[in-house]
Amino acid sequence: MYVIERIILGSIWGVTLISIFFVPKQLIRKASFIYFFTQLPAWLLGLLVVEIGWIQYPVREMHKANATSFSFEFLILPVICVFFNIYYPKDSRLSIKLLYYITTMGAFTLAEYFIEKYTLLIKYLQWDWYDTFLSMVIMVYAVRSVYKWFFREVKPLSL
Amino acid sequence: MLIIRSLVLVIRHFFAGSIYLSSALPIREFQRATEVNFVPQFIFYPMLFTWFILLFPDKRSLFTKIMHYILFVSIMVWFIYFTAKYSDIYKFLGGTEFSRLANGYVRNFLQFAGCHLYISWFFKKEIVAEE
Repeated sequence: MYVIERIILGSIWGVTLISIFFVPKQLIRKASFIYFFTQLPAWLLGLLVVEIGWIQYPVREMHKANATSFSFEFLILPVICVFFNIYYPKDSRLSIKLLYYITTMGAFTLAEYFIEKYTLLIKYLQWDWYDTFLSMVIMVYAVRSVYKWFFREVKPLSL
Repeated sequence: MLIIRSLVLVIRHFFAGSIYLSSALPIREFQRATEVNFVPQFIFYPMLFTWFILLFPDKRSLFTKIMHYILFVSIMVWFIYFTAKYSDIYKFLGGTEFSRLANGYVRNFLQFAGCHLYISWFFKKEIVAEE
């Protein structure tokens, strides 16, 4: 049952867990903050979109306990935010920064679009690919702002 | 300021481990989205852990530290025990009275100790100075 979905989920877990080892050692403390902080809004918002009925996750872990996607909210999204912040081009021009947002979140949106189309991992009920893109951009920006505020960088709200 | 900042982290950290439950939660906020209740997991237990860290007697004797652990773990355990007894917020599935309490003490102690370990690593002075 759901062979493709389980292969995708398993490989995502594998890739994500291995990628954690590529976090530079001197950044582990900051990365751990980003990792844990991302889960805070992700848990709440993930519950909300499922409760309202915008998104459905037919194939998921902990099927009985949780109707939201555990792997996305507790593993994939935090790790995305960690690497997004590690490789953020903070000394570049504004246009480069905007391009960075668009390409990284665009790639994610594209991946989710195809996963939605061809598998049962996620189903959009009242949702579209641009909602994913927008919410991801806002989410990543918010996490980055809090991260900068927490580590006392200047102008936490700037791009 | 640092204290407020640490709260954000502490709050977040605490409920990551609290998804697995050997009990049912009939009354909860998100009926469709999850079988786990929200306000206790998301706000109340993190708040408890935040005060646990803020009030932790770092410079006192081992005995005081152990008593501090016992106090806060007891608050958790007995809160859950009494909500289970007098309301439908919590409902234990199986187990005797003693096994539930013992289980609660062990599980919550491990949770507090694990989170405490992480927090003390996070705020260790040497690491902060390194950056």
